[in-house]
Amino acid sequence: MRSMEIDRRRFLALTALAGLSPAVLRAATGLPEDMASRTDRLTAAEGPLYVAARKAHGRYEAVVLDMQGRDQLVVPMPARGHSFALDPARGRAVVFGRQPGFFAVAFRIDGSRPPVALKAVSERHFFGHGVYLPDGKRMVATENAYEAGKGVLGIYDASEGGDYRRIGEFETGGIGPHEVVLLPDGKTLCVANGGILTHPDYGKLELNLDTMRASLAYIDANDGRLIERVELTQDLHRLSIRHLALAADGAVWFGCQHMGPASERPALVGRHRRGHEPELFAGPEDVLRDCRNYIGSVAADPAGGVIATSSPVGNQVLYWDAASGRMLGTTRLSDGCGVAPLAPGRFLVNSGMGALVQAGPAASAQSILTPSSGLSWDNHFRRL
Amino acid sequence: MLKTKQWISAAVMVIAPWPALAQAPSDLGKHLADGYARPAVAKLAEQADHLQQALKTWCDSSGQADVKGVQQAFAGTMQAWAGVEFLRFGPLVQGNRYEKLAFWPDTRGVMQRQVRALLAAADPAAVAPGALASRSVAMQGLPALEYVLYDTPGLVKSAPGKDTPYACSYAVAVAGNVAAVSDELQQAWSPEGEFGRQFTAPAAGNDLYRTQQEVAAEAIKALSTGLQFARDVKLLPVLGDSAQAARAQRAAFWRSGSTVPMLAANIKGMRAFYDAGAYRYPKGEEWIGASLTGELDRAAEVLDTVDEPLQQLLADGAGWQRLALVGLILKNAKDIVDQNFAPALGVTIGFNALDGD
Repeated sequence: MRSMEIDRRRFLALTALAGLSPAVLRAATGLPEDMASRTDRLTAAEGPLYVAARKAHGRYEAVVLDMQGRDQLVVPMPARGHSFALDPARGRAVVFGRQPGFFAVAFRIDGSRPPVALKAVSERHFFGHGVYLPDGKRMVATENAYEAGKGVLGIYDASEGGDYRRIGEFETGGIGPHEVVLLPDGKTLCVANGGILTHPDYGKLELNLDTMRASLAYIDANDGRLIERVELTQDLHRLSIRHLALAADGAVWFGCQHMGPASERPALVGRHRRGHEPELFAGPEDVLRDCRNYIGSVAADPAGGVIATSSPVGNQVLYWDAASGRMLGTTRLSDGCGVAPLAPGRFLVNSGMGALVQAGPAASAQSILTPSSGLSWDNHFRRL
Repeated sequence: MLKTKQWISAAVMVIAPWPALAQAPSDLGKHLADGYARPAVAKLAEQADHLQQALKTWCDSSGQADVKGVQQAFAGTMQAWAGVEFLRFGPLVQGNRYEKLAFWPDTRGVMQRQVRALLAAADPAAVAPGALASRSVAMQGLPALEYVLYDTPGLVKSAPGKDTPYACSYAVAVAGNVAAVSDELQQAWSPEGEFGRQFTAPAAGNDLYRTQQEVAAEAIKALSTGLQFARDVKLLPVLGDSAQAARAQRAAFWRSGSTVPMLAANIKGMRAFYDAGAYRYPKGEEWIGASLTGELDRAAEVLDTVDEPLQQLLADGAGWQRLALVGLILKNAKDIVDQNFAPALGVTIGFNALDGD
């Protein structure tokens, strides 16, 4: 059993290094040459920037990438990361540890300042997702109040000099909140309460499969008021709503994981419009079967008209027409999970095998980075 | 604390894009069912039935009959469950059967709270034949039965007398429910059951298992997850970081002193489940099977040498280290399953293929 103390010291040391130039960082951490050559192309960023978490040659990192998959910034982490809160307007982001995560790291996209390490407070851990509020003064993270067995949103002071101090929390109206998104009104949060009770002493072990119930909760970002809460029907009580994306029309699209037996095969993708019942879209039967009851990530294209949902265990990405709920096509990619918007109807997709491709429903996938033995991209891939 | 190091999850296996090195028999599902799963669930059903009879006889005698019969029947049922619990797919995860048999770990003390309330209310309707099946799962299974037998009121500790007839009826009802759920398991695994049929004869038209590879992936996942559960859920939270930090009351079935013998039975069960697969390795790869079975045997041997109560074992530095050693061995065994055995059979675990994210 490794000591937490050593890990933390190493973490802080690495965090301090992360603000340095890639060359220095490479020298200090001994990144292998193939990674080195990529980090050296720092100035060659093209187009939009992206962030992702990865395991590279045994190290856990958060990275800023360009659309060619070239590293722009590497932020070391003490353990595996998951997703991000993004504040592109101010050039900032926070990466969260994968659940049960006890750390998060706030960093500047351009690496101009040293990263700031956030530690989960007592009896809370991160679930791996969060958002900044538009004024840049607060950052909100999904967390587990695990002794009480309830979901909360941790509120952090993201203002200048606020040092990401945790200033409060809101209840999410459910158990196991996973992804949170901010609606276009800039003041309403939508939280996917996955419904699964976990306790970090038992890792990710599901402790309430008999009674679990997922929900979507709409919460006022200013005062934490629960504005609207919707559930799926009782027969789907083991369908865990986990990941979210917004379509152009403001509808919330969600991706699920089914915790029931493999013989049950409910639809895994759905859409919710405020004031209506949630709708579920199954797509073709064989495609659904191949998803093996697991969607790992959801993203909308830049126009918000096409939704991509990935199933890493099914080795495929599915595309949906946001207006009609019709499935538009699939892309096969081994352990493909991270999906991020690229162009209308076009996405960047990465995989646990290190691949990065450009793909969409209309044309075949184009490889950007080929699979690599020392590199695994984590579940989420986000565009700044 | 160990918090950041642990994760537990049913790893989702993916068929690897490379040819398999080792070979599973072409009728792997039949080997696993006939050679292990069917006898294991049959034994559980038989033991639970026996336990219900023993409890009934004993309760009817108002505790005049020998309590040893009940204790032995309880221990036999627990051993049988330890050999079934890692088959956590198919029939065992349908209809909340796993939770009905063993609602554990119970981090919020749900079982204890509900059983106490039930005993206090002493509602005869709750213990009528079949009635428990529609109550909360926490009150239906082995942890609840252990609680009334060995803790509150502790029927086997102080003979059931005039003051505990309701608790005795409840114990009989729980044993009956465990027997009924076990019967369902046995039926589902049987050649006549839909699951048993598909698992033993994967075919393109099947809903569940279409290829032998999918059966192999299920078997590997059961082993990998079972080993992880044994270590990360049953052992590490009990051990803590040191003998001083150990917490015996976090152990599974600590009240009846079943923790260590059940862990041993669990590990022996996983070994027998592996053996039933009759996997064959090409020359030079035989070490995979030999290492895996060697590790499982070693862990079981260490546990078999334990004869002191868990509390005492943990308080003693050397005893604590013996259990910590079992944790290390189980980790090795799981690494062999994930990193060697699975890929040898053409199955791999994806980086992003873990449930819960």
